[in-house]
Amino acid sequence: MGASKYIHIGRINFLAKTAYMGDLLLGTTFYTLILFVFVQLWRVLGGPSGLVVEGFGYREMVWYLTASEAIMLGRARIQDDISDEVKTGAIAYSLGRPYHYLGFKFACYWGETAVRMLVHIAVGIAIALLAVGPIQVTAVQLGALAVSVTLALILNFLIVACISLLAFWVEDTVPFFWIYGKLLFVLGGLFAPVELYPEALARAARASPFNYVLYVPARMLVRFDAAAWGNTIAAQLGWIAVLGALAVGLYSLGVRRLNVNGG
Amino acid sequence: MSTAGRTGAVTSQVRFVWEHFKFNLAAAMEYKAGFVSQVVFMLLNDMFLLFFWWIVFRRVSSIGGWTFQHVIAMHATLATSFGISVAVFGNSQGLPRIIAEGQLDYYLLLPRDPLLHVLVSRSDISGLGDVAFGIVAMALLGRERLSSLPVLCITALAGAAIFTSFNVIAGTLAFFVGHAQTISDQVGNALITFSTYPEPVFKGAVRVLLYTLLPAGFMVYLPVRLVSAFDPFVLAAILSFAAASIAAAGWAFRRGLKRYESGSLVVVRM
Repeated sequence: MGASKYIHIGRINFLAKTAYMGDLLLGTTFYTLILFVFVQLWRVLGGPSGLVVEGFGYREMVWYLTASEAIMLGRARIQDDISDEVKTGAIAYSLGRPYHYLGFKFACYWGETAVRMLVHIAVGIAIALLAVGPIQVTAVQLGALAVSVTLALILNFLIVACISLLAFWVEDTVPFFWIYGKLLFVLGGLFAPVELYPEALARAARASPFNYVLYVPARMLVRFDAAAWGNTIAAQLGWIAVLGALAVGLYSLGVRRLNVNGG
Repeated sequence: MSTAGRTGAVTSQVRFVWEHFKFNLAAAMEYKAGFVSQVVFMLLNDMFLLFFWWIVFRRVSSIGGWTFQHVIAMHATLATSFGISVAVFGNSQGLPRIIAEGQLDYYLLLPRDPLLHVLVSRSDISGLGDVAFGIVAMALLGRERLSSLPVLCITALAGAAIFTSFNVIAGTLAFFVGHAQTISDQVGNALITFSTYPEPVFKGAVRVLLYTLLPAGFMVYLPVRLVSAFDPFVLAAILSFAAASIAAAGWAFRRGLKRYESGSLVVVRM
């Protein structure tokens, strides 16, 4: 009973998003553009005397970027809603309702993310196949990858929720999201796998939660390592536990500071 | 109009833009913490953009003749152009929404040029962080490139004019198709995206596109060439294209305005 209301909320959001499929497809223009640019870039970089990355040829690199960008752009943007509701005090309306605010937002996030991811994955596969052809991947590997992508998106939700809830204490959370975006870019390995980084930076990236949002699932697509899969999933679950506790803690502390004026 | 009269009109427009910018800046600085965080965080945000290229150029010496210095110059020019555009002409990217919602009425009733007035009515203060990054990036080019600074400043101003005009032209689609914010955002993103990668990456028809419909060539690629070797003809080409872009934006807006219908929207402007 507890979970069913959240599943229902997620389903409603999923259906609401599918009603605007034209908008959603138009929104993939940027994804298409980025992949096109990267196909051109790596064609130049990965030429005969060009850049060599351990285990990543031109084809693997394109598929890696297809996966990392799909996750990056397929995530629903819930930060504006949470930050606005905290700043305006509209969050007070949810306090009396029979759900946990973060659970409600999590359900909304998944409803929209599911549609966005499906569309981005379809577009990404089409572009990568056209550009470089298929890569070797089995059904079992795809199942294992789906688990990692799901955990990556949960991790992203928790990081975004933590930053958004800072609106209880600071005027504007938007600049923090610019930095989060760039942390995903650098430590998350959005444009390049960490194998390309200097050793110290690669170690720092691997120790951060951002790495588990993009790099880990994207690398899993192109270089699946069955022996390391269990450890990877355990690390993702560990970060989810830490950030989940932090988000719930921030929310509990924040609502105590809530001042609502007028009605 | 006589030459003196034309000069006076231009001076008056420049003063109008400057006064609006000062007013918007003063308004933003009322919230000091927000102002500082927007500028500083945008500066940091832009610094990260160089990270990817730093990683790449550790492994390769050049990309089709472009070195890390060229890429820094590219980001410096782009960030400065973009920053000036959004900080001074902050409504250029929101023009489709303003047109579709009938909010042009207010500007049409006033004696100033409505396009210029609507553009300067808002400032995106984070653009100052982009400009600050542009200055830092130019400094990173090193002492031997110091002589290129005046050229980079002039081309950054021209780039701001091109980017603003491009957004206006894309935004005037709203006069013809109604809601055009999404498509306008997409083409704006496309221009920015192409402007953040070295020119040699693109070939054939794409290269032609970048010197015509998506003018990244005039906004960043040609200015970068000037850093390597100054060529007065290249500078003249950039300035001519900027002037033509401004004229085209004005023409497109006036053409579109003939189809404009008031939103019958009652709003209070404080």
